[in-house]
Amino acid sequence: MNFELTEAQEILRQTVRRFLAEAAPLSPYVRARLEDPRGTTDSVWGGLVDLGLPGLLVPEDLGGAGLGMLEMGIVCEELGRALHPGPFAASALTATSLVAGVASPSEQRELLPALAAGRLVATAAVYEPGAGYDWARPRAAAESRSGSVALSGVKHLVPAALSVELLLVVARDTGSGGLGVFAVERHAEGVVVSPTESVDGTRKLARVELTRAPARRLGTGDPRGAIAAALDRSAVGSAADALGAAMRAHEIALAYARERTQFDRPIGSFQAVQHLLVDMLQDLELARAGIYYALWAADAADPAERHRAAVMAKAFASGRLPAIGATAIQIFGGIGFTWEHDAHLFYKRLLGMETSYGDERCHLDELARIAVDGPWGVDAATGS
Amino acid sequence: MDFSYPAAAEDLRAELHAWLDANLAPRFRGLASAIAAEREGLELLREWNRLLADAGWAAIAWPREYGGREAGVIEQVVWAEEMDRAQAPPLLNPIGLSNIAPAIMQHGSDAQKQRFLGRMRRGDDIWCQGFSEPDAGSDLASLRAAAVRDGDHFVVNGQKVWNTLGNVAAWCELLVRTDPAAPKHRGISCLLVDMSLPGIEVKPIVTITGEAEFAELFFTDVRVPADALLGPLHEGWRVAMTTLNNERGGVATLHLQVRRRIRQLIADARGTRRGDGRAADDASARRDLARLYLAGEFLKLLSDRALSGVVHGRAGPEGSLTKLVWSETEQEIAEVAARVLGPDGLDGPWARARLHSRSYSIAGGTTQVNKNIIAQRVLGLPRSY
Repeated sequence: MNFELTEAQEILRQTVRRFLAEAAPLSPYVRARLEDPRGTTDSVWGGLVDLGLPGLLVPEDLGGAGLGMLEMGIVCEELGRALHPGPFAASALTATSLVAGVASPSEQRELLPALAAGRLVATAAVYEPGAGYDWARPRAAAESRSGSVALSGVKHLVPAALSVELLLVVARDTGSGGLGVFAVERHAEGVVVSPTESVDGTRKLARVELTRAPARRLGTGDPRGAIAAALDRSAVGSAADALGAAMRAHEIALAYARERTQFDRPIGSFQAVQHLLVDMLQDLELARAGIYYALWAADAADPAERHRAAVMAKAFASGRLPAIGATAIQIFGGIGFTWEHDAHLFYKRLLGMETSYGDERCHLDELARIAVDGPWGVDAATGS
Repeated sequence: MDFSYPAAAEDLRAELHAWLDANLAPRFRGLASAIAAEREGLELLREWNRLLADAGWAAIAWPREYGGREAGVIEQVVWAEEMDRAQAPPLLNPIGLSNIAPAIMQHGSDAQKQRFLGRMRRGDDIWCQGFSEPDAGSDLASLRAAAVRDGDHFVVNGQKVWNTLGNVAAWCELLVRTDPAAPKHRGISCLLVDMSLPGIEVKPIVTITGEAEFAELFFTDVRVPADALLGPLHEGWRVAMTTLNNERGGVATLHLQVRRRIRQLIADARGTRRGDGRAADDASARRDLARLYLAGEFLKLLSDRALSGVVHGRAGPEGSLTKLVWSETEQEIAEVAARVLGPDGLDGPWARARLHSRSYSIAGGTTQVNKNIIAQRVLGLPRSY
């Protein structure tokens, strides 16, 4: 029974934390990015590349670090803690997992080293307006005509689309009738990317309109399993990011409760305030246990267990972590409601996570399919 | 990370599994705990407990010299998992084994160890604790029951309350004030009291479920032999707070029963007709059940992290939080059962569970007191009232 991180994993955490504190502090760096559609700078992206982070999940023989989701989760947690904007998770987690899952070996040899080196930044365009989280029946469609493929359709909630070079679009392949993942150059003809207003200025979502955009299909087989797996991994990464933001919100609220005095005593000596802080801690520790289990399972467990763990982690994160940001604002009182104070930035990061890669309802419905309909509920009497 | 158990623990599991297959006769299965058992059930429980004890499975955390296996925390978890899997009945003497025995082992005389530990382990004698009083609940150290030395005896007067197993116990670990002039934690002594002594009156406390789950104990000029004193005079507080160093398996296995109950509720929801379909087909019931399932699974993962912290020497807050999460989840099970089953949940086990679950946020330290303690010890906030 070992639920602990290794020394190397702790060092990775400290390294990322130190880099972000120095190169990308909340003020002025993050605040300056709130209105900036790119969400990163050459020097900060270059710093992440120097640490080898974009290639974390890429095998060593393709230029990456060959590490797993636990390490990725640690990085996501630190990025969330620092409210870091930019295309990291979109490219290094979602797009990289998608390429590794669907692309042919030669396509992987072409794309993964570039992604690992940070030369290529990519994102996945999965969801469509009006379709909720149902990605498996897209209206976007790719047509082959005389050797070239043209893709048309509308995608939304595409993370970091304004700062990438490559879009990985889930669309119907009109030739085969099945689903495919298509690579589309972000600056190609027929591609219009427009930013979406979002409550969280640190996450840059965009709408992507494709009109007969030149595309090429990655891989040949049925990609649904690989897409589902990449989305599960992204959901857990998003939950880990939120865990970092919520932990930090709790830390700053706790520090404030110790130092802020009213009625001649610290407000942290009042039970009403203490119990809020304990309630936050309770959900944080539950989230930590569930999210780190899901990160471990993503590489170590069988596919069904990976999926179950991911669904549980994101259902809990979406359902419970936003309240930690809200409670932090409550503990700060009036000052926490101001633009000047940082509390709202943590809350907004958590609200952004709430609906990314499936909201609570979507994951609870999936969990009901697993736990209520599955074999789990049947043999209560025999208990196996 | 690695969620497997060490080979030694798996060996223990296999040994216990085989022993349970051979010895857990159908007549023992599904017995309620001694707290709720009728007389007949109690004797069956005693028979099972002796079988378990004589095979060395009743108190595996105890030192070998007292009939234990010196099992570590992981082995204790494996033991609880196997007992749950086989649906073996609960132990007859849970309070004695985990709370009273450690104090006797550490502070008792040889004669006391000799006299009490073996019989306690076999369930020959059921033990209760006489700690809480009507005016000393969360603030236990303000207790007032008094013992005055008179020759070879202590003369005990006072009242105790919330005595689990008090109505069936043969012996009681009793906290009494022996020095009224000392500060409140210092003037307390611990006595091991034979419950058949004249002057002891036991009155059942009927709880909101209608069951006699606890007792009240009244002591009127009870003459307790002086050799009943456990540990030094006036140091009963320290004696009573003794726990077995490695006795941490209990908190780490609270999830077993919670998850079994959630499985049962899901099975019941699938088997209950509501309207045109099954209770488990309703969209909002499904989300309630899924959220509940999630709570049970995360309680297990929190317990696993607590366990890992103990094994690897990492001090974390998970252990302190487990009781809070456990009590909330137990209460939520009962609430969801009512919502999902509707009128079918109005009587029977789910109705009882709904009433009984109110005790979980009170017993063993109320939720509010626990939050105060966590705020101070884990978060380092100032003491509050």
